[in-house]
Amino acid sequence: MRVEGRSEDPRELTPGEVVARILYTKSHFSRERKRPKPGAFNPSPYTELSGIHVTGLADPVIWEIARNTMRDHPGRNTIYARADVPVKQFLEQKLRAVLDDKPFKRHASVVGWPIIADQDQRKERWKEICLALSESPQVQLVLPQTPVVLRE
Amino acid sequence: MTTSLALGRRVGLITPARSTARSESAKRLAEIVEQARMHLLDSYTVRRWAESALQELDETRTEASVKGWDGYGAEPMDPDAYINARLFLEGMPTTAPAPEISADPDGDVALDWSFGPCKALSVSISRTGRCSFAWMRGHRTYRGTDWLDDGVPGSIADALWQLARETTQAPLAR
Repeated sequence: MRVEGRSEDPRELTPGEVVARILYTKSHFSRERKRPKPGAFNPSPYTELSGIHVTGLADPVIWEIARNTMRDHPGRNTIYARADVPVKQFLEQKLRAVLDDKPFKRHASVVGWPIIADQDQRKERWKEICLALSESPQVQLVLPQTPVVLRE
Repeated sequence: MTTSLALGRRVGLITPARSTARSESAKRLAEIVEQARMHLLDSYTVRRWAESALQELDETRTEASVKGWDGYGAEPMDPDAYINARLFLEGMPTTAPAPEISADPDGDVALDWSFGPCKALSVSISRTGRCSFAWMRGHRTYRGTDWLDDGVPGSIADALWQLARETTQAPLAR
């Protein structure tokens, strides 16, 4: 049986596709430079980075999907920006983007973050990856006209 | 000797001097250094740099004060990481460019410098004083771990100095 709105199997996204990382905090991008900061891509405390598969979608549609991820609790009640990352940029960092449609349709997980037993080494390696993503000219920071706030 | 040691530790001019020397000349020297420090703190430019960075750190701490502040289950900023970040900022040379400040989802404080396309340094300061850093120059990336001791770790100061110097020599439009 197929559940409405969900794919049956996760699909690995191809280099030409795009995943958006939604930024619920002002702390993770520079408005002045119009760039995401490295921390925007740090998956801690997990080993997967959540995003939205936005390939081919119009801007208002992307914001509407993002709006549906909002919740009535601190940290999830305002969207300040998003970072659109071509999957090619993840692949260059030896990461993979998987469209899993969980917990919502078009949800994508960026997996393959190196698991290193030594915490110091892991932190610096992940930092290196996050810095490369934040500095990639192909990664675009997109700002809404005004921050997206949770509807009453 | 005193001067070379101070430079070697890369402490900032606004950092209070710490010395165990007891001779009269050492006391006199400490007084002169303190007068210079107070004079420097009175200067508009330095005060603005330091106050602005510390204010940004405080704002970031407020934003990152609850679990899940980033929308993805982040840990709150660790109070000791906050203190260490203050020490780091106060220990920075007054001639250094100001960083952008943010919080990492594991409770660390992150300081980021960008000098144009693919020229950047990012440092994460933990509650233990561990400084994890990565920096890039063009297509090359580097990374490492150092420790906050008496001022900014030398490896990080070197990276910052190198990026800043290259940018001054060949300014890049962004």
